[in-house]
Amino acid sequence: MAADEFWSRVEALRQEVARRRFAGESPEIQLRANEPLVEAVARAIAAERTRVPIRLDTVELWLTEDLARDYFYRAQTALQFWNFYLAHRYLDEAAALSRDDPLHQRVSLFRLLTNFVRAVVTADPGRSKTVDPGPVVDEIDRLDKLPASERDFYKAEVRRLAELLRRRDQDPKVEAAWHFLRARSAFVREEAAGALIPLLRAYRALAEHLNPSEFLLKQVELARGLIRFWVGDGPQPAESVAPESLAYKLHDALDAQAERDLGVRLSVLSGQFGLTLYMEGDGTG
Amino acid sequence: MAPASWEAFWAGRGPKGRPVYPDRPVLAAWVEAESGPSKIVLDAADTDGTPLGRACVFDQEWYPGCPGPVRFSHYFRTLQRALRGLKALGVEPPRLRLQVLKAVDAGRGRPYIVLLKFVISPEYAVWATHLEWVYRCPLQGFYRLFVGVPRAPTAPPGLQYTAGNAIHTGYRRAARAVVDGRPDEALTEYLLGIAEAWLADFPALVRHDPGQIQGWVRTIRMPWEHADRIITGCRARFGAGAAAVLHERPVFAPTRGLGGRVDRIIVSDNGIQVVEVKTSAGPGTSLDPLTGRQVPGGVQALAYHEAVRLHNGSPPETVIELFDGLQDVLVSLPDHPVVRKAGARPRQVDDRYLDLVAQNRNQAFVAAAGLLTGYDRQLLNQLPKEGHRLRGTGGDFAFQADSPPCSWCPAGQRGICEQNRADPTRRAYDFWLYIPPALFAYWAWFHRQLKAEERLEREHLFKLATVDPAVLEAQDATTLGGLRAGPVVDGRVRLERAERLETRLREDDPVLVTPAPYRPGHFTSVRGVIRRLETFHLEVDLEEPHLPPASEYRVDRAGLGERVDWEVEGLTDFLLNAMAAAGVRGRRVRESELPPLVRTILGREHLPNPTPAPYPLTPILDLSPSQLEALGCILGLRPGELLLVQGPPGTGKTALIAEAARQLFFRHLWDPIGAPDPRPVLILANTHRAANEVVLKLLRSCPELEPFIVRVGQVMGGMEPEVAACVLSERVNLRKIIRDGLDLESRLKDCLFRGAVTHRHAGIFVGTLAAAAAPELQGLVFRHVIVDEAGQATEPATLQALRRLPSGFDGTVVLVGDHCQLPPVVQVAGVPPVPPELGAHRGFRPDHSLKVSLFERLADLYPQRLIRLTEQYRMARPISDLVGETFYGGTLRPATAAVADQLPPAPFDRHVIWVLTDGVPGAAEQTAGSDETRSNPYEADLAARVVVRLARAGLPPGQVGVISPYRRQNTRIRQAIADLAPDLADRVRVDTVDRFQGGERDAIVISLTASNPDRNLGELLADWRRLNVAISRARRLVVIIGSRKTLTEPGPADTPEVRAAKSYYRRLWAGVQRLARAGSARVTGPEDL
Repeated sequence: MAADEFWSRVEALRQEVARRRFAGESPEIQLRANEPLVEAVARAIAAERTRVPIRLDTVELWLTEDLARDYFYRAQTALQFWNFYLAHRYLDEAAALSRDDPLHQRVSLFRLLTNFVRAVVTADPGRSKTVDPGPVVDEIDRLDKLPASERDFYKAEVRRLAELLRRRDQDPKVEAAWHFLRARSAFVREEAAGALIPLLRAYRALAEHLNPSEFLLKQVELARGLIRFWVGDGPQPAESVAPESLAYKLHDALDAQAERDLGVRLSVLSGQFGLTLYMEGDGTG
Repeated sequence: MAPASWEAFWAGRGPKGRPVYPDRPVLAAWVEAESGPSKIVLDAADTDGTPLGRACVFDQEWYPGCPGPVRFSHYFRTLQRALRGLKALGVEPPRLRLQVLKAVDAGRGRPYIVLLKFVISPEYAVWATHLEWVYRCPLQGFYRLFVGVPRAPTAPPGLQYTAGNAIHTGYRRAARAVVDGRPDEALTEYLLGIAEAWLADFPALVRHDPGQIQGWVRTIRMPWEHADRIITGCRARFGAGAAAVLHERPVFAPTRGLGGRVDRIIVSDNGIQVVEVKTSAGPGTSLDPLTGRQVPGGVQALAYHEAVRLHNGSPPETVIELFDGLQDVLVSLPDHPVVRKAGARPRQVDDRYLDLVAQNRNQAFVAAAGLLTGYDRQLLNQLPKEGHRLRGTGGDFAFQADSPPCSWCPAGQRGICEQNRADPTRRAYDFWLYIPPALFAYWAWFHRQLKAEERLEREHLFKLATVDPAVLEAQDATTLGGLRAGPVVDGRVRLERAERLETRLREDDPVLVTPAPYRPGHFTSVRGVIRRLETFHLEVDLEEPHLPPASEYRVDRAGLGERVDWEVEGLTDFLLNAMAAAGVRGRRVRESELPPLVRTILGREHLPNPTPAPYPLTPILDLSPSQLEALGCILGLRPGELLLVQGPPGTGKTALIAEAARQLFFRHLWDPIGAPDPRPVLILANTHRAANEVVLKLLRSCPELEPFIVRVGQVMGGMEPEVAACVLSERVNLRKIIRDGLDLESRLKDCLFRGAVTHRHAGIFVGTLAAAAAPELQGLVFRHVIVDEAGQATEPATLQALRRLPSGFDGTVVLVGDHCQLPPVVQVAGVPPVPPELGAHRGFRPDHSLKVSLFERLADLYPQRLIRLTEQYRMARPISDLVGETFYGGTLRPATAAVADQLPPAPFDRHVIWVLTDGVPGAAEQTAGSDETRSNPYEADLAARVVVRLARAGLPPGQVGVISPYRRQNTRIRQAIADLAPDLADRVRVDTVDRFQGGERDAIVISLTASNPDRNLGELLADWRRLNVAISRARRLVVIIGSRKTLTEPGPADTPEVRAAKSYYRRLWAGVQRLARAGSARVTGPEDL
C-alpha cells in the first residue's frame, strides 16, 4: 500500500470515530485476526490518535496510559517551578489520555493543588489576606481512589501553605520571601525586567531591618529610576543599565544583605511557597 | 542479596534514620523493573564485588521519615538520565560507580538504604575549567564538552590581557625565586616571566590592526611599572615561613572525579593555602552582591579546594588572587560570590558545599560522557528545549550562574543554540534534524570513537590514583615505581633503580613524577617530559626546579594531552561549516546540496581525473617526472577540488610541497591583501619535524620567500635556526628586545607593529594539524591547503585542513602522504560498527576505524585522483626494487644513477642481507605474556655484531640505524652494543620503526624479534607497513635478522590482518631470493656473521 493510501485509510477511521462520538457513542476500534497487517496498523494508529480503545477479541487496550502518566509527571514538575499555565495544560493532556481512575483522581488533585498554590503565590499582600484551605481539604477527602496517606499529606500541605500566607502578613521576612518568589517566577519566564517590582517590594518590606550596603542602595535607586522612567514619571536614567542585569544584581544583593543582617536567605525561604510532593515509601522493614 | 552485607558496610556509621556521610564508593546496577518515576532502585556492591544489597534514590533526597524534602536536588534526576543513557548504550543492566557522600538507613528492622548525595562515576575526570563552563550554563557544557563546538573568537585578545598575563607569569617566577632562597634574582625572574607571556601571546597580539597598536602605550608599560610592588610583595609574602611554594601542580581527587592544575599551593607551618590566580574579569566572573565587584574563578577554586582537602585530610585556606589591573586583590573562597550565593561553607564541608561541588560535577559528567543524548538526533534536538539550565537534570539555581554567557559561548557564536540570548535572531531550531543522514552518520561515527579515546584518558588518572603501582607497571607498562632521584640540575632529574626498566614509556612522553607514598593526583606530583630512557635509569625534564624530598618516586604517563580535544572540535567544525555552506534553512538538507568538497569527503562525488595546469611548469627545484606530473595537477586544481599525492619513501614529497607552495604563492602575489580575501597557501603536517622540513626546503630553494613565510607556533627545541626565524616573535626579535630591557615601551610597540605588518603580508603559513586553530590562523582563510604526512593523521585530524578554507570550502586541498607507510597512532577503545549510511560505497570497510586515514580511504575510493611519485632519491637499486615490488606494485625506481649505483658499505658486498635464525638453538623470542614484553636476546646480539662490524669497517656510527618493533628489544640491543663496543654506545640510533619514520641511514639493521613455533607475529608486525618503513630507511644496506618462518608461514591463530601481512612478507621473501639470485642480496645463517 502506498503511503498516501495508508494515511487516507487512517483519516477515514478517525472520521468514523469522530462521527460516532458526535452521535453520543463511546466508540472503540476492533482488531480482527484475519485482517491484513497494514489495516491493523492503520486501526492502531487511528485508535491512538483519537484516544479510543483497541479491542482485541475480548481484551480492551488503552494505548495512551503511558503518555498520560508522562504528562502527569510533567505537570508536577511544572508546578514545582510555579508554572501554573503549563501545569494545567499538562494535566489536561493527562486527563484526556487516561482511563485509569486513580490517575484521574490524581489529575483532579493536582488541579486543586495548582489552583491553590497559584492563589497563594498571587495573593497580593495589599488585598487578599488569606486563602481558605477548607474547600480544598474537603475536595481532597473525596478522592477515594487515592491512599489515605497521600490525601493526608496533601491536606497538610495545603494547610501549611495557608498558614505561611497568614504569616506573610505578619512577618516582613516571609513577606519579602513571597516577593522574592514572584521575582523568581519572572526569571524562570525569562522576563527578568518583570522581577524589578517584586524585588523592590521585597526591599521595602525589609528596609527598616537592614543596614544596606552602598551597592544594594545603588541597585535599588537604579531600579526605582528605571520604573519611574518606564511609567512616565521620571527622566531617562543617566546611567544606561540593562534591566535584566539590574534585576539579577538587585536579587543577589538583597539576598546577601538579608542573610548578613537577618540571618535568612530569601531565595531559600521563598521555596517554602512551593508544593512538596508526596513520596511513596515501601518496605522500610 | 545477603542483608548482612549492608549491615557490615553500615556498621558504626550511625543510628538508623539519621543521615550519615560515608564518603565511600559503591558499584550500583539499576533495577529498572522496581524503579519508578520518583524512585530509583539499585543493586549495590562494594568495590571488590561483594554484594551489599538494595539501595534506593528518591527524588528531592526524600527518605521515609525525613523531616522534609530538599527542593531542587539534582541527584535523582541526573542519576536517572545517566542510567537511561547507559541503557540506551546497551549496558545491561546499566551500572556505574557512585561515591556516596550522604546516605541514610531508613529501615526499622532490616537495612533500607537510601542514597542521598553522591558523585556519579568519579573515575571520569572533569577538569575544573569545565566545571566553570557548566556552572555558567549547563547547556554550554553540553555543547563544548560533548558536541565539541569550537570557539570562533571574533577578536584576538587585547594587550590588557597580555599585560595581566605577564604580571601573573612574572609573579610566579619571582615567587619561586624568593622561596628558593634567591631573593636577589626575583627581579630577573619577574622580567623573564614577562618575556614568557609576551612570547606566548605574540601570535595573537599581531592580529590586531596596526593602526590600533599606537594607543597601547600605557598598557605596554604596565608590567614593568608594577615590578617593584610585585617583588616587594613576593619577598614579604614568601620570605619567611613558607616551607614550599608549588606552582601549576596537577591535582586529581579520585573520589570526586575532579582535577586540574592549581596555580599555586603554599605549604607552611600554618597549613596549606591554595591560590587560584586570575588576571582579569571576563566571562567567568561572578558578582559580589555586597560590594558589586566582579570576581572570577570561584568554581575552579572550589574544585581545587575540594581536591586538596581530600588529599590533605582537612580543608586548606583557598583564595582567589585577582590582578585587577592596578591592584592585587585576595578573595577568600568562603567570601566568593559563587560560594555565598550557594550558601555553602567550604571550611565546614556542609551539605550546601557538597551539593555545589557535586551538582556541577555530575551535570558536567552526564553532558561530557554523552549520556544525555548519545547520538540520537531527536534527543540532541530536544535537549536545548529544556532550557540553558537543562531542567531535566534537576538542580538548584543557587548552584548555577544567573545568566548564561551567550556572547562567549561557541554554540551561540555558531548559531546552533536555540537558547541564544546574545542574538535571538541567530537561534537555530531543529538543527540536528536537518543534517543529511550521511553527514550525520559520518560525524557521529568518528565522534563516538574520539569520545571513547577521550574516556580512556579521563579515566587514566583515576587508575593511576587508585591502582597499586606494581599492578600498573605489570599491566600497562606506563608506570615505573621504586625509583631513586638524583639532584635536579637545570630542571632535569635522573631517576634510577636496580631493576630493569621494562616499559612502554618513551622519550618525549609527558609524565608525572610523584614522591612516595603519594599517588599521582596528589599535589606533590610534578609534571615533566622524558628526555632519555635507558635500561636502569631515565632522565626527566621537570616543569619545576625541585622535587619534593622522598626516598622513592614513581613515574607515570601523564596522558595524551589535548589531541582528542582538537580533533573533536575539528570534526564538529566540519559538520557545522558543511551545514552553513549548504545555503538552505528550515528543512532537511539534501546531500546533493552540500559543497562539492564535502561530498567528496563523504565519498559520493563522481570525480574526473585531475587536470594539469594548462601552462608550462617552471620549477626551480630539480623534480622527477612524477613530481612534475603531480605539480602540474596541483596547479591545475580548481576551488572545491581535492588531490591525493602518494609519496613512497624517499620520493621527495617535501620538495614537491615546497615547489607547489612557491608557485601557488607567486600566482597570488598581486592579489589584494586584507580581510576577507584569502591567503595563498597553508601547509599543515602531522608532526613538527615534517613542518620544519617544509619550511627549510622553502627557504633553501627560494630564499626570496623568506619574508612571506610564517612558521605557526612557538620556537621549539630541535628547530633549525632558519625555521625558528620564521616564527613571528623571532622575526621581530622580540626575545632579544625583552632580554635587553632597553627602551621597552617603544621597542615593544614597534615589535607589535612590525609583527602585525608581517602577518598581514605573509602568504605561506606552515604548521601542524593541531595548529589549525592557532592564534596566527584564526580568522584567516586560504585558497590552497596542503596536508603533509596525511597517511599518518586520523581522518578527524586531517579535517583540520578544511577549517581554513574559504566559506563553502571553496579552496583546493592536497593530501600528501603514503598509506603504505605507518598509519595513524590511536588507542582504539572499541570501534562501533560502520553505520549503513556509510559503507563500502563511501570507502568505509567493515573493519574501518580511526586507524584508517582519510588519505587511505580516499585513495581507495578515488584512485583516479591519486598521483603516485615513482622516483626515489634514497635507496640503492636493489633495496628500491625490493621495496617497490613488495609494497608498491613494482612502480618504484631510483631517480638518478647516483642513487641507484650506491655501493653497500664495507665489509658487506650485498645491499640486502637476511640472517635467518630458523632452527638456531636459543634464537626463539622471549615474552612475559604480553606483546609489549617481547624480546629476542639472540637477535639482539647478532644486531650488535653487525653494527660493530660496520663501525669498525669505517661507516660513521651516525649512519647506522637499528630498528626493532619492540622497546624491550631495543633496550637489549643497546645493551648488547654497549657490551661489545662501549665507544659506540649512544652513537648508534636504536629505535622502533615509529620513531624512525622520516629518517634515513646508510645502513639499517632490522631485528624482527618474533620467532616462535606458533608463527605468532605479534601486534606490531601484523601491520606490514612497519616493515616497509623499516626497510626503506636504508640507502645502501639493509640487514634483516630473524625467523623467516615466523614471518611468512601460516599460524593457527592468524587473524585476517595477519594473513594479509604474511602475504606481503612472502612477497618480500620472494624478492630477497630473487635479488640473491641476481647477486644483490644474500641469505645467510648467523654463523657467517
